[in-house]
Amino acid sequence: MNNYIRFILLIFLITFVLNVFAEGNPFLKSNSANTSTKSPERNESQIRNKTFFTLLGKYHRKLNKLQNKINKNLTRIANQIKSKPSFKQFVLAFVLAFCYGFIHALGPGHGKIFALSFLITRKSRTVDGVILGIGIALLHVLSAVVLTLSIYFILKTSVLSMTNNFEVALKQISYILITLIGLGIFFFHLKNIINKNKKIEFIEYSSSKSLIPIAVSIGIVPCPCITIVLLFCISLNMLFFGLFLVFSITTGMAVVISMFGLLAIKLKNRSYNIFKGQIRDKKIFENILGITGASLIIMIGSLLFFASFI
Amino acid sequence: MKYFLINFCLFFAIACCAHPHIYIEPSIEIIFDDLGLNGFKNTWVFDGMYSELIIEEYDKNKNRFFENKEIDCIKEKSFSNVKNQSYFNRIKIGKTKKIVKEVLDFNANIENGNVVYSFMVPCRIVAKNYPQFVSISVYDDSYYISLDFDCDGCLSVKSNKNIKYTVSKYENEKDSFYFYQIIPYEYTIKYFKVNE
Repeated sequence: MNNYIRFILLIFLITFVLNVFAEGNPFLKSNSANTSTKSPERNESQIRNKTFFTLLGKYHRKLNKLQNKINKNLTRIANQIKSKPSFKQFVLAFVLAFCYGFIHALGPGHGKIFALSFLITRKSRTVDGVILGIGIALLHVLSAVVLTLSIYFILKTSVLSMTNNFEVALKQISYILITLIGLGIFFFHLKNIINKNKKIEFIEYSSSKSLIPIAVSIGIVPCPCITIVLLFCISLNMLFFGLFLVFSITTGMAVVISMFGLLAIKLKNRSYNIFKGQIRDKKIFENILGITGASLIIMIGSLLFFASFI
Repeated sequence: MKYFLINFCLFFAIACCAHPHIYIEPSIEIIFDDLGLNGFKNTWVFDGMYSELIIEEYDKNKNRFFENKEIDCIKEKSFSNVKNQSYFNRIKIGKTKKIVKEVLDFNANIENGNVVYSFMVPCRIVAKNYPQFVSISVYDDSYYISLDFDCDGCLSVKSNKNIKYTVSKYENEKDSFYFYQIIPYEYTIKYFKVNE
């Protein structure tokens, strides 16, 4: 197998593994140990060699501290607005919430890997990456808002544990939908390869409408961060301010997920340029990429589904 | 090719960064008594947002104070589940990992709008005339919760005249979690009994 392809697959697989475990509040789960992401212990020689992970760890710590700082400031400003609202503080809150959403979405989860895999399976325009990013972020947040407000105002029950339970159920539904979409894409490309002599319209699902199922499948999982922010504002009797923050956070998230979408499209085009000399038929290359992406979607979706029962 | 690799690394770097949803500032007091190490007193200060959620959920009479009944409820519903993670206390006696099975004196209160949990992790190790080593770090390896064990004053010692000790802090790469992305801070306590 070509080294480039190996590299691509490795990156996707590692990223997948990193993302699998990013779920569930340990305080509310009786089996919190099952989500442990403890890494296998490294030996001395591995540690002596400063790895990419070591540097990433340091960078990550800084990012985490920044997120914590924003969280603290947002809490402080929300309390100030409650006692003495001013336009300046609203603007500051909006900017902070945007940064919070932006940094927050850089972490695992939020369906970035699915968005990436999906976009490489199809003939995508640059704008598709942006549309998908915005779509996922909007639905991701909308599901959290609807769930939180429904539990709080209609069911009037323990919001923390109820949202956690719903989150788990919605994740399972999401994983099933994602797997089904992956299977659909897989068979589509397989059919294209088998019938390579027949004139088949290349990637029939390249319209923007076809982005809706994947955006819905990923986006229905509510974002815990939104639930926390919204409940915090409700506890301060500032529901509308909470929704205002949620809008700002969503914007930050949408920018990041869109960036990933654009990156996927750019990577796909670049990888085509690299293999250009070796590729006789662009159609076959696209179909192979499609099958690879679809396999990843199926694998990730089904494994996440089964992992959610552990 | 170069740009291709840079793009992949960029993607990887972005995708690897984990995101916690809850922030806790933990502080630990190492308790020594006449016999040696007695245990670790934990104090966890939750971030303001999550604190409001806990208050909203468990402060039933809305007096912004947790009564005993409410504390019991918090302990049962919003604390005891982390038992499976050794209450986030990663203790090593020498090189052997200790699993924390029980905690004592759990308490929850509200300080300046932040919920504070406090509890004692018993860890009795009798001091000898030669140095003994105990290490502790505090983290949630699912990384849903960020426990910043790097803050100022997050470790203190309740000393005893019969015990001499030194504390050193370092980044323990060997115990990195979240697939090597997060390197926890670890404190190693070296102590021995002083002959009178």
